[in-house]
Amino acid sequence: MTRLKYVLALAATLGLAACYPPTTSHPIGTTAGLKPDPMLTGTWKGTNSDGKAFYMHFLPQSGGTLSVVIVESGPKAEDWNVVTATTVTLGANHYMNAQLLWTNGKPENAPAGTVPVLYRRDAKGALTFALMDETAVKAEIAAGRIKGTVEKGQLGDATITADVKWLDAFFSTPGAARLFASPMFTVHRAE
Amino acid sequence: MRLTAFAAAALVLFSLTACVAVKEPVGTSVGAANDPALEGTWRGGSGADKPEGYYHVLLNDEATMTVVGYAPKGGDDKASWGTLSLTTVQLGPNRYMNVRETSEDGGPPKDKAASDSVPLLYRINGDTLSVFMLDEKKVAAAIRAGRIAGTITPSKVMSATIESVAITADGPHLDAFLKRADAPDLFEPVMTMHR
Repeated sequence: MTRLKYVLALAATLGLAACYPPTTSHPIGTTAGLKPDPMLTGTWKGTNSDGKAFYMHFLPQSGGTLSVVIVESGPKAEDWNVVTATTVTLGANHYMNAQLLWTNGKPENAPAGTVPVLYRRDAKGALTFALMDETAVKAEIAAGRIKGTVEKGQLGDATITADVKWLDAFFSTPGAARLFASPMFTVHRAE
Repeated sequence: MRLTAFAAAALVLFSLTACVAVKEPVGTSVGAANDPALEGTWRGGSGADKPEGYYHVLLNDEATMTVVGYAPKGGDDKASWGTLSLTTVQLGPNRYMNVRETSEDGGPPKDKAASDSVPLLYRINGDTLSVFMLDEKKVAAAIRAGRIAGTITPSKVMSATIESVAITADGPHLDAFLKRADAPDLFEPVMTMHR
């Protein structure tokens, strides 16, 4: 089990989460082609579960990745994180493959693989992020509907180990989106 | 001495601005104390022709602050980010910060000179933060007049002669000098930000 204060740095809301969110051993979308979603580029602002404002800065990098710098703001702000991510659209679903790199200037010892994040932008411009529902993913793995592993114990981490072709086919379906929990937070463009 | 940009485009604050070297950070005789008025997010500083950058100031323990800066894409410059380490001190009526670049786009600063501590004067007026840097010519004049210990080293660059200016006074003397009410006269505006 890996404890996180901030899940993929996006997750102030998961500050007290006991476990690392489900990961995939291969990024989602490699068969479709990973490229930075230009819609994300720039600065977004939201409020975390502690009521603190935070900013997310998305920076396209050479090599097709995005750097995401997340910083709390305001009184008693303490934390900042850096995530690297790739993005892909599969069917109607927009995904991010995220890896937490830094927390407060120190390298993170995150598990191998990437964290799938489902993101959506609504008609009013609100951008939401959702992680996979850990209980649901574990149930799918246990039932053999998704190839993966679950560490022992109630808080054991779940890893989807299916190959890239299967991953992309599965995550293109509406059913895949239903495996994601409610959005952990919402941000709005700050610029 | 020359400083690189803070996180490439991010730190117009220092972008290739010649600056005055100091032997010791400002405030060693009284000790640094975080200025809570700086805490939070400031915007600006990228110049009139570029989109505004973000500067997030976080107060750490042990009287230090971290600045996480982000500069959006502008002109030929890619979007970039970086971090600064900051200490602040008040000397008489004047408020100073010692600024040191600690990372640039996730790596070490590309210009080693940027890792040196740079003294800046600052003023907060409502939601506006103004930052000032020591002016080489004014400091050189002060050194020549014997008001502060320092060195002026001329060197040839192409066909021009430039002077590298360094204050060599120790901490207590530097602090006494910068405590004076007229010390801000040695500084020039370098950056203005707003909440």
